Amino acid sequence: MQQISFSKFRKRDPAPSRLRYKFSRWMLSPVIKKAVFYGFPLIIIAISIFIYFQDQKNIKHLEEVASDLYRKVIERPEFMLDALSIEGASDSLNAEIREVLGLNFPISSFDLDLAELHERVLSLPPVEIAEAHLKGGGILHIKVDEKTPALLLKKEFGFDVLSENGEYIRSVSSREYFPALPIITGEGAENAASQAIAIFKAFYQKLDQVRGLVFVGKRRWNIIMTSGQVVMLPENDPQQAIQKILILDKVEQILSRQITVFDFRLPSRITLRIPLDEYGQMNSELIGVRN
Amino acid sequence: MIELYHSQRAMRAMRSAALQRGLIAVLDVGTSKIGCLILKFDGTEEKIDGDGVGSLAGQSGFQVVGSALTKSRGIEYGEIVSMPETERAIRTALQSAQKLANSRVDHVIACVSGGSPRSYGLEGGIDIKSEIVDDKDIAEVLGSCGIPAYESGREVLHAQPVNFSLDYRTGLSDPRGQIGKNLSVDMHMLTIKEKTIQDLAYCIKRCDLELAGVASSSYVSALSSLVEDEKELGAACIDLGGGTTNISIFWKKHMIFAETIKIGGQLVTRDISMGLQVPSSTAERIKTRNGGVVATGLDDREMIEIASETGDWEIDRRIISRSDLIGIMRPRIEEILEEVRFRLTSAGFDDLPSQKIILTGGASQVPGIDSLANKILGQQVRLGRPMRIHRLPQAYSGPNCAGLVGLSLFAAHPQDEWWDFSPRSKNFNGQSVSRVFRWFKDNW
Ligand SMILES: Nc1ncnc2c1ncn2[C@@H]1O[C@H](COP(=O)(O)OP(=O)(O)OP(=O)(O)O)[C@@H](O)[C@H]1O
Ligand SMILES: [Mg+2]
Repeated sequence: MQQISFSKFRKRDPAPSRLRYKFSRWMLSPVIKKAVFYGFPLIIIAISIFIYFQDQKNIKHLEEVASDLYRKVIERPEFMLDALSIEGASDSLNAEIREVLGLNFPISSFDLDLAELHERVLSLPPVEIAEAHLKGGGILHIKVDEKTPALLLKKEFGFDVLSENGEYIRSVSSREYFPALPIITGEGAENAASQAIAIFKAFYQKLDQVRGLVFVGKRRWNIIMTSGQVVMLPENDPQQAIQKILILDKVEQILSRQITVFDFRLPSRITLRIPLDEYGQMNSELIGVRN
Repeated sequence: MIELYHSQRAMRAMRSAALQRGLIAVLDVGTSKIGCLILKFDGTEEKIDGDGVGSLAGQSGFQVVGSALTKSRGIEYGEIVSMPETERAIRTALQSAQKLANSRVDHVIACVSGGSPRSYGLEGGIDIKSEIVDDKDIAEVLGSCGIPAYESGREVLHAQPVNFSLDYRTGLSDPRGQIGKNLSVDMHMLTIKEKTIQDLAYCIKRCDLELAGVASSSYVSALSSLVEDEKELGAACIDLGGGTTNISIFWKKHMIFAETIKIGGQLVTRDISMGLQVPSSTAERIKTRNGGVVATGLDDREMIEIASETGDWEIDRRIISRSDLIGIMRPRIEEILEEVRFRLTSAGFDDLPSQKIILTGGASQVPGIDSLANKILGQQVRLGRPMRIHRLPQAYSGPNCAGLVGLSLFAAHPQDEWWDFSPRSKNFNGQSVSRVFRWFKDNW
């Protein structure tokens, strides 16, 4: 039997070889230490991310997860809107605004484009100024100023309500909705709405006798009185002509006379048309009227 | 001499560079173990004043971040006999210490126990021109010391000003700023065999490290083992190492004598190995496990089993009593201590006011050595352990690490040495060269 001696199991030299020693020192030098400490994990992370994104399926999945997460965040109760409050609008406009916004509450405030909503509200004809902002407690607050109706434009069927500037507000089927508004008509009348208003203003003393204004030939106005009389106004400066009429009426009660047409188209040459009676004679009442 | 001055100054510069970087290694290259500590200096030097723990002051300025202890190789009697082996051992120690510290060190302060150190007391004196003593005067007075004729193959390891006297006032530790006419200095100089240092420097260089300082093992062991009072009143520190026994005498806080005896614990081991016919590893084991120097009746009955591996059962399974072991160890240890006694006496230790003797080093762990030392060296013997330094592992707190700990203290608080004072260039050169020359002429 062979003798087994412990001395045969020579112990390995515990000293590191020169190369190993140098390498370990090199690894411990500050720059390398940092590079290894931060660099290696970074490289590993970068490579694993790269491999992960090589697969389309993974990208899809990640997108889903991300959008899921996004929804979860934006649908937190803190960000949800539950109601719409509208200030300064009549009932009909209120309904209209709700319709045009078309929001289904509850809705997240992240899904809302306030500027766009604002545009949409502004695009409604009756709205003059609008403001939209979020209020605490999950309320979207919209504040509007309606345009004030100033005129009724008679159309073939029904009426258009116009603002002072002739802007369209709405259509109504009958006068009764706005009994106080003066009526205008004629082709292109809406474009001269401000002039019409000026005329009405100038003629305010006799407003109860006026039936309406007619825009003639897209350039000038006729006043139709309730009595059926017609006052033809000039194209330029109709207010001055009205002044004249009023003065004449004051002095001569011209409007209460039996005259069908007051032609003021040429301020320098006023013409009055007297209705012929059944005999084709001129009415004698007109005698004494001078220009 | 000039060369030495420059190389020492270069090492000083290296050390301050290392301290600036905050990391330095200390290396105790002993006969039986190589120890390495990596010190981290944080620059905060708290002074613990007031409670009389003077020797602890300033020690919180550094902490141990890495440490390693490995069996030494290729060293006999404190001197390198096989460079590649020693280099490997140093590499082993440094690598594991660096691993622990998790950082790399480039500067190392080492101590050597061998190299037959020799002590000289020097004297010098000058007349002061400017009345008030300043740095230049100190440099000049140090330069004026008579350099003894040491052999050509030796180098100066330490040259420490021990005592300054100014006009009959003596015992000054720092005369700068004082007024006087005549300044004289006592200096302690230690020379060591040039080759010992060169070999060590070469090994360290082979490990890609810079040598930032060397110290004598006797000196650093005493630094860590003596308390302030002992240093002040006078004491001898005996470092009983593996291959060498280092003696140093301190007085007035300075080392005034150092000596090395080339016998140590390994000789005891060899005696056991020869006396009991066992391999030296077994001898070392029973020495450390069961060793002692004072036999009692009980020791006759305490049996020690000796296992060796010769294959012969009769030899491999022997039983000896502890008294037998003590009988082998005691004469050798007595011899060591008697040699120490002889050296101390010839150094004039008996003239010191205090006769305190501190035993440290690995071989001082032999049980009962203090009572034996009491008989041989005198009554005031105590066993010394190195003082605590911050974050030093428990395994390094034994007396065999006195040198290592002392070296750390030395690295943190180096004693002023001659080369710390910048010389007055021309004067210094001319004087010392002529002095050395004169010495040569007188002695050869
Ligand atoms: N518990 C112990 N009992 C007896 N002797 C011991 C004990 N521990 C260690 N020794 C001895 O101490 C010696 C080692 O001491 P130390 O480590 O101080 O030496 P060293 O510093 O390597 O050598 P040197 O200073 O001579 O170069 C060895 O000879 C060893 O046998
Ligand atoms: Mg030692």
